[in-house]
Amino acid sequence: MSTDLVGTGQPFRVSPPIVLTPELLARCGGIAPVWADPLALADETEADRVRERRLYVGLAAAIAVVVALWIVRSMLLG
Amino acid sequence: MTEIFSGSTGHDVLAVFLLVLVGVGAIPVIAGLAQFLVIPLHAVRNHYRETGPYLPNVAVVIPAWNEAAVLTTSIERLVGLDYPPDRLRIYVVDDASTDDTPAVLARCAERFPGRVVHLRRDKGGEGKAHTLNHGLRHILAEDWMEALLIMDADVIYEPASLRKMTRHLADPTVGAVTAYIREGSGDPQGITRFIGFDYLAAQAASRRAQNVAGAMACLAGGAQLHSRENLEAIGGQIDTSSLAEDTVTTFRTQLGGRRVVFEPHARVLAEEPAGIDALWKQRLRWARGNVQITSMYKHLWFRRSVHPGLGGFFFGIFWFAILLLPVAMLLTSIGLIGLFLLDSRLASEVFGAAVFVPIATFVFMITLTMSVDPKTGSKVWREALLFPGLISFVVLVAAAFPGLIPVTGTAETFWTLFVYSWLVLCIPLAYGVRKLEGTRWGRPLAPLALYLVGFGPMMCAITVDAYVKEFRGAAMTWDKTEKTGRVTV
Repeated sequence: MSTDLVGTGQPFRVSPPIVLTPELLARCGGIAPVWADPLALADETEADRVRERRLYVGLAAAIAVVVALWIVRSMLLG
Repeated sequence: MTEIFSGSTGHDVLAVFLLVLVGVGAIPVIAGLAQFLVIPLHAVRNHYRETGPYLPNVAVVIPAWNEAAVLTTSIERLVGLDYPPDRLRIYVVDDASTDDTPAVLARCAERFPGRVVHLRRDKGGEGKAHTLNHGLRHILAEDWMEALLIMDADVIYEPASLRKMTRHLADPTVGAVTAYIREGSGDPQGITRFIGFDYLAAQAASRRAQNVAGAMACLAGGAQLHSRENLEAIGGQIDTSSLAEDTVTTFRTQLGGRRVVFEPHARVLAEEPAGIDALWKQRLRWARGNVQITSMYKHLWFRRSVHPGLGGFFFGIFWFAILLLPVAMLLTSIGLIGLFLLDSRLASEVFGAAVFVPIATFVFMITLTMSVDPKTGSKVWREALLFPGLISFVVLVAAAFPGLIPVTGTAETFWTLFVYSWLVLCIPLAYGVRKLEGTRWGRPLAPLALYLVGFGPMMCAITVDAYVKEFRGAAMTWDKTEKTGRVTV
């Protein structure tokens, strides 16, 4: 089995399509697994990409805590 | 503020010199802050847009020496990964184990025919790199493998982790991918909670910053996925000359022109040392490895012409800030104590003006770190606050709120000198905590002592130990961390 590079602009690696046999489907409990569907894989990646936006919430929380500490300190020190 | 240049020339020069020492000592704080300010950029500067639905044939290689307690669970988890079964094979390289490892593997090979391969070395004990190379020779001799996952026997991958890693290899400029390793004890206590926070900061948070900067310091030893092309390009072998074979592999990959990507949503649970001595040995190996790497790649640091990422200013500062942290702490202490002896008012004003920077940085870093994985963060928030130790925590609070500790006269002088010198004093005390654990009467007290002195100072003490052992040319022994199989999902 070999990995092919496709694409004209930026080449990328592709793997052969998954052939979901009845036996394989049965092993997966009768539900098509995510890896058998390229669109589901793309959705999963998009969800992870969007999830990274939570870092902004963390940044906001971290800044808020530092500012709160500064205000408390300033008030206590007069 | 007191006029610095108010006395004799000698006095002024000395004051400036001591201020410079304090300033140099602050570099790791500034570097840490800079790194954490970069992390949120990962929301827009990441590799997701260059990924694709790539599911290569993956050979998983597990180096194993006396891992009978954990192998069955690891293999069952691997076989159960949410990944095409016919594209996953597990190669366990048995490093001449003397326990039940061969029997355990024979049973696994029988249960999962064609998917579990047992490779046994006749002569063992040479270390992980030699064991891996035995497996690599076998795997590379066949053309089935398209990607190779190096992992440890005790780690457990979450079901979707592998395919979340392979998607990055769709981009042929990527040579290797690493995952987010988490401390995986079902019921973390004491030291494992500290490690839990340490991994949160050093992996989930810091590695995002390295993704943004375009330079990865190290592929996690228990979760490194390589493309076949990359493995062949770096010689098809893992470095055996240092104690940091993972870092050497990471550097070689990047110096060979391929990218290394951290995938934060591929989660891997690992068993970590539950005792101070075991932790010390593990981290000493890592710290000595970093000292060796610093010397091996001396042509690289701060030279963008060699590599734009690894040779960049940001990466260089980040690397040396960790490596030289004990030196920085020593310089800060010398600077502050010297200023105090020279001009106590000046020292007090410098300390008072500057102290909020490390406090704010500390608070900012732990808040941001816990936010990247709130579930883990909620379990280890106490250890996050006490990472520098309870004594350091009190010192920081007292420094942030002067007057909180009402001391005057001689007591104030002693307290001030204690605060200025604690940065250095905590390092030998951390060494003492390790020694305490080694005594029969002290063993029950060691966890309490660790909370008092802190996990951070212990890491600094280990770094100092690494300097000393490297300087002396001490033997590079491979102290394997004992695994008991207490990782749970």
